[in-house]
Amino acid sequence: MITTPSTSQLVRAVSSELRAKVLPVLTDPALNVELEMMLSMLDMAAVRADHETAWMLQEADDIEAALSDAAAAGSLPEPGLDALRALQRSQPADLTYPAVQRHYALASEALARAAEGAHGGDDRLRSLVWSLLEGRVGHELATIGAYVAVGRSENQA
Amino acid sequence: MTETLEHLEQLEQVGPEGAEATEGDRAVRDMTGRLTGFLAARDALGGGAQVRGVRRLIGGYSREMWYFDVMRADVTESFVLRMDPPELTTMLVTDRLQEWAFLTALQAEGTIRIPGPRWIDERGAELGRPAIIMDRVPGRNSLELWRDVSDEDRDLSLWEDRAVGLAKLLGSYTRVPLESLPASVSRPASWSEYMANCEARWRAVESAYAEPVPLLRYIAGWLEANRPEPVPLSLVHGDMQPNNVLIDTEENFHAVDWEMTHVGDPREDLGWWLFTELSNPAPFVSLFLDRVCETYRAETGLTESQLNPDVLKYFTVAASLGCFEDIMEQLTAFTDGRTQATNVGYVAVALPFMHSTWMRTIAGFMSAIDQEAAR
Repeated sequence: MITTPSTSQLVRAVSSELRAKVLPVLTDPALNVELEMMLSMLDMAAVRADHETAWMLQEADDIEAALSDAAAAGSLPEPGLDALRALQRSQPADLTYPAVQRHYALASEALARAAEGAHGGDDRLRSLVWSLLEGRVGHELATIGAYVAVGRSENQA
Repeated sequence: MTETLEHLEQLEQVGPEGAEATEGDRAVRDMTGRLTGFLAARDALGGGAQVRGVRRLIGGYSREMWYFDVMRADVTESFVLRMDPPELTTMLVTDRLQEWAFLTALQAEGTIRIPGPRWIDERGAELGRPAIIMDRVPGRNSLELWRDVSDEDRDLSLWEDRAVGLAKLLGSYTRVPLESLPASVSRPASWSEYMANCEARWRAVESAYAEPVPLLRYIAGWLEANRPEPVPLSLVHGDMQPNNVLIDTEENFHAVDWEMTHVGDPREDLGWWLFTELSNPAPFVSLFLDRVCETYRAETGLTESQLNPDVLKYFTVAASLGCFEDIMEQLTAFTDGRTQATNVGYVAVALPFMHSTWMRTIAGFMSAIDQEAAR
């Protein structure tokens, strides 16, 4: 298959053309806001196309490693242990989106259960969970750049 | 989610006869006709009065909003129409009948300045979708007023007064007797029960979503583990943000958009205001937060340990719930293919910002606790 131009390049090209040629000629303010929202979604899709699969696999690995350490140290509550075992047994069958997404969901569930137990007084577990959440939200933020609530009156000139 | 900026009023003028009608023109003609029929059926167009100046407002994510005037001889009355959007095209699903019940109850009670509720089309049989019509409040919101002058010329003492005015407005909510609210309103048996229910709702939002969201489960546990001192439950506006407070020329504050009102912890309203200031250009409450807290305590009788900037960090997170659970429900509908509405799908772009804001706020709260413990 042909990989160039990449998916993100194609998406960004569409976004750029819409911004340059369609947005300026729209006269209906409701449609204008709607197109701005679509452009934000396209921009996000471009970043996700480039990184999403890698980020999901990386986060899943980080979660498995960190929670395995916590389990070895006796810090991980029982519900978290169960979810960690399920994650450890999982291996994406291939790199298709659904296969990686299923694997990532197991990692997310393990982290979520650890997060539930993070307020029980074990500062080490809390710190570990927090660090994993920061990594996750860091990736989320990388998909949006500087967020501006499109169409909200506070963000209109 | 009210839209009030004068410069945002998108006056969709009906084009001259013979000109090609845009979608906006048709919508304005259609709405003018519906409003005329609706008001005439209620004897509100006597004396040759006419519906004029119908224009739709753009700028919010919730209700469809229209401004219009009723003109007769030399008298003009201005109104706001708040209408349900088409199904599954909004982030927030609220009930016009419930909003109407709150508005009429608050008007009768009289403590808070609100736009007078005038008419309701409960089922949307006449206006197209369920809608309420209210008096248009003569005021501007803080975002508009903030933009009136440059940063260099801004009179901060005036904004400190406005921060105090806002604190007084929010404090006044606590003086509305709960028994004056509509009978249909849920009244938690106790503050603890209310907070526990909110924490359960955070968990329920996560549980209902299409994939695990670890941060939501973390937040539910964090809220539970760090509950502040209890205070008496009171009326909560539920969407206290700059678009929903109008300041008139006498510097009176009017609260609009009561669609998310409920009985809860009064500190939620200040918390949500602070959340919205993290993404808007007029952060005057944050600038004068100590003064705001001092005023709010004086108005409400709360103690410093019940209401201070650190406690408000807790409510900056906690008060996101009402808006957030609707957002997640709509995003689930998008994921399931029940809607493809752009502004619903767009929530996916907003979520990372919300997640990041919560994490920064929680970090700030925990840092304050650690510093206190170290003393």
